[in-house]
Amino acid sequence: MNQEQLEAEVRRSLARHAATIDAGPGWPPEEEVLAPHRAGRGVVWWPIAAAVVAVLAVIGVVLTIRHVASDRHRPATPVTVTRTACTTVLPQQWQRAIDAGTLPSQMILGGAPDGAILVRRGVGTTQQTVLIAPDGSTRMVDERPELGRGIVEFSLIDRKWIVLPISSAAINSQSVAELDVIDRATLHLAERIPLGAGNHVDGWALFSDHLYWTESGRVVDHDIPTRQTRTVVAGRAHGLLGSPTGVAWTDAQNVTHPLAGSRPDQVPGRPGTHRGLVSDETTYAWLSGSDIAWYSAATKQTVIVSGVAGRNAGVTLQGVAGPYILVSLDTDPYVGRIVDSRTGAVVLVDLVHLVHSGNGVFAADSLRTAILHVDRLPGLHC
Amino acid sequence: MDAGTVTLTGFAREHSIGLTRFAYVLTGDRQLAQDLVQDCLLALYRRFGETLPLGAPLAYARKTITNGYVSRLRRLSSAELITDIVPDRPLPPADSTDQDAVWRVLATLPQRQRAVLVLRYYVDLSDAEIAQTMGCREGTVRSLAARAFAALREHPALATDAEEHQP
Repeated sequence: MNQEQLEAEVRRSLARHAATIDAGPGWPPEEEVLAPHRAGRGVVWWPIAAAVVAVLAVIGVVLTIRHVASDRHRPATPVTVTRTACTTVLPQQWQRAIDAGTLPSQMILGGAPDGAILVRRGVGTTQQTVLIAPDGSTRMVDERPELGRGIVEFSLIDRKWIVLPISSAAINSQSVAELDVIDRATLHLAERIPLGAGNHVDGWALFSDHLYWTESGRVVDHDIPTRQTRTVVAGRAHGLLGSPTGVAWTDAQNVTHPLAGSRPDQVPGRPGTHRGLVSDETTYAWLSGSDIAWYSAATKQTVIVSGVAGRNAGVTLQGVAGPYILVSLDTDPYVGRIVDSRTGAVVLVDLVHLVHSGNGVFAADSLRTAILHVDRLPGLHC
Repeated sequence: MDAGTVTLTGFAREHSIGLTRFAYVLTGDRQLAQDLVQDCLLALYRRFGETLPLGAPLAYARKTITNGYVSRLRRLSSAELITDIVPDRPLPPADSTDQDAVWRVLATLPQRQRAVLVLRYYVDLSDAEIAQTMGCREGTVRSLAARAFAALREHPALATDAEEHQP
């Protein structure tokens, strides 16, 4: 079959299967579906704002009086700094670093807290999974035919282990057939975990020598060193949330239940929950109203950067690496923004979808796939 | 269509089936296709309300559906982006009993390769338009297409099928 015939076959197949669909979802949906997506219509904000201002004014007066009245020496406390964002031109050194870190025809599968990045690349009819160390050196982790033995999907790495979810090639590339656990030091296969035929595995996380996955609603906890497996949630889980500091599962009502470590929306040592929290293990960023908050666990300092996006822009924090935060906006799907929390300076980059951040590294893709060592670059200023 | 004159309800009435067909050939999964289209309509509503100030709402919707599909496994992997929403139901397998070899091979392709074929041969977009839809370069589109065809040619099921279709 020549190229032209093959293209015609593809065209026919797609058209034939498309024609089997004779209905789409109804619109508008039920009110309870629609209501959460309605953006603050009809809410009168000025009485709330006035009340907040009045309360803050009272608190301010009280604190001022207490401060003036106090004659005790107080130790320095961590300070919250507020900065206003300012957009600046991407420095040439940054552009050169992005160009140098670009990985043509490769796909980022994951990354480790030390900044090592795992990528998948096609070489002829072979797919290779390669670990790129922070110094740029590479090690082959897995090699298999492009077709016939599954595809390596988005993977998990920590300082000790690499976990490769292998999708089933036979049925559908979105179903995972096995989890390959690899000793990161030796790159030897430590264990191959076959997953139940017919079960659907759609989430996996690695934390503190334990591998977790969801399998048809149940959450499984696998102790890698002892190879002991146990079901920790039976048939009620709708998702699994992993972060550098913990693992949790979510139920049908999207309520989060911690499994190990801290909750995915909590910063260790800080009270409360944090919306859109991202972390590289040492620094954290989250959404605070329409502002972006950044926090360093080392210095205990919090920085609030305001004005990165408009009020209704739909901000997603993609990741944080040291003082830098990678942000995407719904209104600008192909352009990411890197915010320097030290200055509030913002630059536009063609990296949007972060796959990993850690140890001063952003590994992201969109118009290009690239590893960017932001810790080796000069700070951003307006 | 003039920007600002399209209502979301009218758009959904006119294009719901077409978008679901597109989502189905993109994913190979009927339920997921319905979900992606519903998510797309909700995203349009969340961002614009009932009036769509878009010059090309259909292209925008296709882009949203394509990105939703391509990024799906990444969201599910939960390796880093801890705030993303996880799906509320498991994926049934693709139509594994289907006798169409091309369709079966399409189900084994990585998402981006399959998306390129669907956008090129079902929607009839140019490579430049596909690049814009997928948020990548034209060269990447051609590379993905080439790899997809290499897979199609080498797959045993299609090879058999191809022989059967030889005159």
